[in-house]
Amino acid sequence: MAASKSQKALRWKHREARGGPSVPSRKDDFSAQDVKVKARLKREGALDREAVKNAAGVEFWLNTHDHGEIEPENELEKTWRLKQDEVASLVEVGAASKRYDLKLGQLGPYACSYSRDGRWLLLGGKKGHLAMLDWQKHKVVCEVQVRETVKDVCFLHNNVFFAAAQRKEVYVYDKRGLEVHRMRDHKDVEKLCFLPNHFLLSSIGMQGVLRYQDTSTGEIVAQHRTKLGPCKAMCLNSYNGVVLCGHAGGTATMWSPNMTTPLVKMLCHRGPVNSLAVDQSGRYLVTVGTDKQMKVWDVRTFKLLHAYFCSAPAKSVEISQRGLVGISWGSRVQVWKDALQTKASAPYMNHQQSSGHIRQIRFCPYEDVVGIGHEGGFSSILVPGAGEPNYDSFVASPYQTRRERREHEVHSLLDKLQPDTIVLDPQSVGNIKLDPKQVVAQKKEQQRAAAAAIVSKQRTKNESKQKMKGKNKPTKRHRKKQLNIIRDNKEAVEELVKQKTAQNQREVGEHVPSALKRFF
Amino acid sequence: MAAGKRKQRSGGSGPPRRGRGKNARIDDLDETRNDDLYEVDAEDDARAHNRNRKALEAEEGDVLNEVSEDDSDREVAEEDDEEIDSDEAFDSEDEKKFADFDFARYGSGKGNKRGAVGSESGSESELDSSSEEEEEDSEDEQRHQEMLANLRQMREESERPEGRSGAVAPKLGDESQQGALTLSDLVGTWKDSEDKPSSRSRKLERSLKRMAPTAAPLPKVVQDRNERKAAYSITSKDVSKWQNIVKANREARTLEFSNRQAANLQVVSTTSAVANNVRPETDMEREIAEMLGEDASDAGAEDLLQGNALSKEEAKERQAKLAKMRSVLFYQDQKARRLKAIKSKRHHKYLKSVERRKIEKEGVTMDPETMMKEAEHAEFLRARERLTLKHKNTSKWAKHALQRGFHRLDENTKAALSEQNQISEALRRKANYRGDEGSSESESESETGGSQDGGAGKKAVEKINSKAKAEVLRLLEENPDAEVPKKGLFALPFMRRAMSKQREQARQNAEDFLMELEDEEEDSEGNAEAVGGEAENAGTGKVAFGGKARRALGKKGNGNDDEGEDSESESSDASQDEDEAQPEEVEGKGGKNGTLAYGHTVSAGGRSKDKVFVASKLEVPVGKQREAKNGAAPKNQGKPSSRKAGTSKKSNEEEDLYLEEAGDGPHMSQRQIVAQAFGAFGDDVQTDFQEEKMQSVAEELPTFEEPADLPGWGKWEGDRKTPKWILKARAKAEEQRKEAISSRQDRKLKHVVISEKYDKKASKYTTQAVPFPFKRREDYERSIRTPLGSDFNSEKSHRDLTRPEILTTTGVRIDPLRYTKTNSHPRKEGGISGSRRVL
Repeated sequence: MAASKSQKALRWKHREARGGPSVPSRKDDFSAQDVKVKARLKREGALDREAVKNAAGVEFWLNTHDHGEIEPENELEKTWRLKQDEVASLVEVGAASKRYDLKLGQLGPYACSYSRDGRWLLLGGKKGHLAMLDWQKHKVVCEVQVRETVKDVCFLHNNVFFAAAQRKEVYVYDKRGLEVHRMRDHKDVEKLCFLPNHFLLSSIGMQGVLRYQDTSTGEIVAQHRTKLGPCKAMCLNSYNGVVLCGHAGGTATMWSPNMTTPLVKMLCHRGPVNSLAVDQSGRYLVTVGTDKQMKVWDVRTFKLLHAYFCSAPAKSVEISQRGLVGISWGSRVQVWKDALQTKASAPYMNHQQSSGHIRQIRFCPYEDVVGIGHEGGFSSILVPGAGEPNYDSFVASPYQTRRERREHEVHSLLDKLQPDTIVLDPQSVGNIKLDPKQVVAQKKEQQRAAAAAIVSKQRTKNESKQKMKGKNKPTKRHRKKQLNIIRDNKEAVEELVKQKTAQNQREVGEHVPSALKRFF
Repeated sequence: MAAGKRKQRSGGSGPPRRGRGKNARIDDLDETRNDDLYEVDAEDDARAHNRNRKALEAEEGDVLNEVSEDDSDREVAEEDDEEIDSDEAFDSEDEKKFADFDFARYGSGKGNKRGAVGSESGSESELDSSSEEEEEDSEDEQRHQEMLANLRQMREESERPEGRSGAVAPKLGDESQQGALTLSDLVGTWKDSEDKPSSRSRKLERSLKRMAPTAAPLPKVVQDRNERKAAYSITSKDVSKWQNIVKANREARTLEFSNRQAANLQVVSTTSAVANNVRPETDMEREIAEMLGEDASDAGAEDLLQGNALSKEEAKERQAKLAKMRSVLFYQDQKARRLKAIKSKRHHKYLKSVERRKIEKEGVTMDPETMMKEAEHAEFLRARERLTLKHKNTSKWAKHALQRGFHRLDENTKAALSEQNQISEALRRKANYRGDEGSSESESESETGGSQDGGAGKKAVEKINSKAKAEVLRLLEENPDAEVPKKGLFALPFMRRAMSKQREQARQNAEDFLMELEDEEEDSEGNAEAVGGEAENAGTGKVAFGGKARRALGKKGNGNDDEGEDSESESSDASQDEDEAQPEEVEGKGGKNGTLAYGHTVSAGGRSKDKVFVASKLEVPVGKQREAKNGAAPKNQGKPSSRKAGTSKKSNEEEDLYLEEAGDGPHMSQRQIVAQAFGAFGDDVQTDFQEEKMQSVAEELPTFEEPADLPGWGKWEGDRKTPKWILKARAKAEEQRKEAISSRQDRKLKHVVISEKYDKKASKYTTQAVPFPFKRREDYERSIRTPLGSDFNSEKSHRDLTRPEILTTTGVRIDPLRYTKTNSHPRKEGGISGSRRVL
């Protein structure tokens, strides 16, 4: 099968993923550099170019599976007219079997969540029904009736543990359905979100408090009061680990555990924000609000890209791995293609779910499937081209064995990122970032104080010390004293000199040759 | 091996070893000394003058001793060279001096010794000559000069080719030689005078040399300096040959000292490789190997073949097993045949119901085939119900009961009637959602709408049929090319092609329809009584296609306004009920309504084509504009009311989500509603947000020094006015504040607040200054941007990027660097990885 992209395009992709043309090109000017640095930069540049080339090559040759797609034969034909029955009749039997309905009329509406490898499905009925399924084999892994309202469910780092936001608190269950933890700190939680690279479980709810809990150590990492009222919309920007919340005032906020205030606060809608989602590359944010709008934002510039108008306020939005946007309202699901970069004029697919209102839709990773949690249970529909066709078994493998899972768990724990690495621009780690002036001054002051403390300590020690023979010579005493005096005055003198030179420079100006400057 | 290499080298650019090479070395030595030593000028001159007079030079005495030594070396055969006593030439002192210097490396220690001796003796003779000069008397000198002149003359004469035989007086030499008559001068003349130097003369010469007074040694300091200089020049020359190699090694990113061959390490990758490499060492192993060898050769194959053969018992057993299987299969077959032969409808019904119940019990069956069957059956039931309306209280009994009035009926009848209704509802629900309670209202509405005139009789059907026939005939007669637009999108060739294709299809459909109508007429005449109620109620199911087909045909300009409304309203659920559009439903049912029947048959031809038809018309929201462009549009759209109905239908499909910009007409009204809903509130949100933004920005701004408004502070003039300096300071602070605000990231984004608070926790992941080797920020940041991990790179580039500076093989000795020919001019770069193998 021919790969979908040319190698050149792939190269560009990889270059961009490394933050643009990161390495100096051949035309770059190193004249100002030291010989060794010049050589190093050149060598690194060549290495990087080679690496990009190789990575593109690997992708080209290994990722041979092409994504599916519905293509109209002529421009009069519309993909959104295609019903699920027709889609199912057109695809192969194996794919058609991925379309199914679970009729769970009594305990709905259902919240749903897929594991990161797309193999496991988690269902949380509002009336207390929790179930984990191996959905492709139609096998129930565990099923619990918690006899409490279940508001949201999510998997933790793998399918062994999952969290459920219940009436008051958040509980963690293992895959046997046994309650493992009860998280009393998370009160009145409406939405759960797990950050796999950081092992953080974040939650937000009626109190409007965003909490981060480290699931590997168990400690609460941060608790931020949003001060924006109850919150029922949350999503994760998997590119940088920033958590986004949608609020009643029409605002969306971005959070990091480091900061008690939002990193960014955007006014997105005129009414409450119902739901939001960020695409995999971390570039596009899609929000849906009560004002019937679906808006696409550029996360890097925080600018509005496109606004779509819904016939009813959408309740749930989700972006698939390949950038398809799914939204739902009432009993309708719509999937939009190419709606992020460009403005699409018509939906890609349309689906009417007859059994009641939809609570949540989720794209299944690595599958062309959308899961719909609704009043009547759970339905799975086919959306060709939604999932990534090539999976990386080091990231997430749908065919993971037990051993692999354990191995992966250990590796991911070793590779765990500290919560304070969550910043808006992850590329900035290691770069130069100057502290604000005030911080610099503060740091300087601290250093000075510390040095002074050491000196004074030493002095007292010296004074209290018993004089030994030869230690109390007049010359030595003098020298010590001088040293102390100099040290005490040093900073003040340096400051003075600095000021003077600055003043001189200002007075003398530019026109004077440097050799003559000392005469001014 | 080393010796062999040396031999190879001797011809080329390698270090000189013997003979001429050695002389060249000594020359070099002299040259270097010439640079600095003052006394050498004279020697130089002498050498220049006397290049052709080697013999004489040899006799010229102590002054020229060194030079003569030099040049005579060239003549002296190697054997003679050996004669010089090594002890004499290279004493213990020298050894000490050259302790650090490895003479052995140059292949000839003698050359150096010789050089050292030469330099020593040269300087000695220098000193010697100067001391002699002082002692001489003036008288003696005169005589002596004369004699010298004679001698020189003699020699010159002898050198001239014509006057070889004559006695020659030596020529007066350089200033340096003046006044110093040496024995060699004398002997020289003697020697020159003869054709061949006799053995006696040679002996004499040698003895003279030995007899020469030993010169006083140079001062120690000078001696040492000379030696150091000599040693330095040699060493530097020697060391500099490594320069290329060292440079290359320094520049290389990785130095590779690994040497698998030297380590004699065998890389074994497979088990078979391991097995092959095993050599039997102990007796037992040898025994096993022998046995294995025998086995492998022939016995193994035989064994395998033997295994194939069955024993008698086994064969019997197998046969019995097979026989049993066969009989079981036969019985099964028989049983199935018998069961199949049962003609009892009841029995089959029972079987089916059992199967169905089983499926129902299981809930979701994932077998696609059974699912399909189930769906088909449900679809059939639904279609039948929709066609017959059997449970719609249409029976004689129900009608009679209803005629009497619902409220007058007794409970049982009421219950029975409502049950009938329920059954019909359940049956008419969409196939896929049979179990669900909520069915689409519009559907049922349309159903009831359709069924209002469901009681129409055969006559009505005939009437409708004839009407439809006329319509179709008209259509068929029509000239298709009449309304092909000349301009715009529809004039494009591919659009034309598509349209003509569509027309052809429509024509085909119409013809089919006509035939079917005729057939149906015959049928209805034939068994009017038999069909009865069914025929009466027929046709409702085809509403969906009716709408579409009419629309499609209407596009051609055949739209009948009377029908317009009707069909449009019907079509409102057309797209909704697309699921219904299955050929089985359609077959053989007459339409009670002209348009409906008409639609049904048209659509019966091909579903996908119909879809194309519809799509062409339903280009919403762009579609409308297209229609406007299309010349055929105005008539098609019928009355405004019908158009409205059409758009209301659209709301189901396209209007759900459309472009904000594309809004006009109904979209506009939607937006207006939203604007109304959020109008006042929306403004509030924005103003609120602006206030919040200002507040948070103010919080984040740094504090600027501003004189506090303390009562009486700075106001010497009382409260009359604020002093200038305070105003100035305030203005300055204000300016700074403004600057700070304008330098914020979110200054141009009204709807965004980007926090610029100092992130203390994350600050440890950034640096404050450019780290050492870099000077520019960009260079540094570039250098760390390339990801090194294997997640982001191919295996090869990951290895290249993370290759250590030095690669060694564990347990292998690293030999010292050797100078070889290939080594001496290393290539610039060792590939992309920059690794360099050092051996």
